Amino acid sequence: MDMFQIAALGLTGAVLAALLRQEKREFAIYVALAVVLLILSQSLHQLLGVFDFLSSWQTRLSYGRVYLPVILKILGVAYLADFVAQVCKDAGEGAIGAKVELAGKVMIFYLATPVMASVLELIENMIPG
Amino acid sequence: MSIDIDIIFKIAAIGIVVAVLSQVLIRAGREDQAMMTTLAGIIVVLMIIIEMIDSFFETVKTMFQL
Repeated sequence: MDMFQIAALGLTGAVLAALLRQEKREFAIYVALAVVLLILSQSLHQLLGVFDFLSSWQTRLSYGRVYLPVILKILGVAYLADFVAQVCKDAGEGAIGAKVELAGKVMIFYLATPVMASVLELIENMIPG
Repeated sequence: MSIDIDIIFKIAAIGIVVAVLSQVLIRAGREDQAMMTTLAGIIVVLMIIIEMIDSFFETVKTMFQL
């Protein structure tokens, strides 16, 4: 799905949401949510090629081979947290959106700790004495 | 995912129909039935959206090995 279709999707979604916002506020949120879901799932399919490329490179990496799945997980968490936070803010629930974002950051920090541990260990070995 | 642009028009159409119906019912003096139609519309739209969310989460789960 190329960029033109995504642009058209976004524009029609915006127009329909504005149309529905007068009478029924909640339907504007549903339309916006549907459009966001569609655009995200289309753009996810584009990522498949990148992931194949990364995994083909993974065999040649010596040091960071273990951490490619961690990177993918962090990417997924960031993707989801941003999606939900924006939709919540769009629906008027700023607090919920902010908390989802915070939870996303905490999750990413949690996922990143093993990587940090191994980097620190590497540095420690390098420094003599 | 089925034909994507079509889902959005479906949701918008349901929204418009529900809005018009509830206005007509309110004018006719039947506020409770207007509430009923609004609820029915919301439930139908939610079913569609939940199915979309489910398939989106499934793709994210498989792709990012979450």
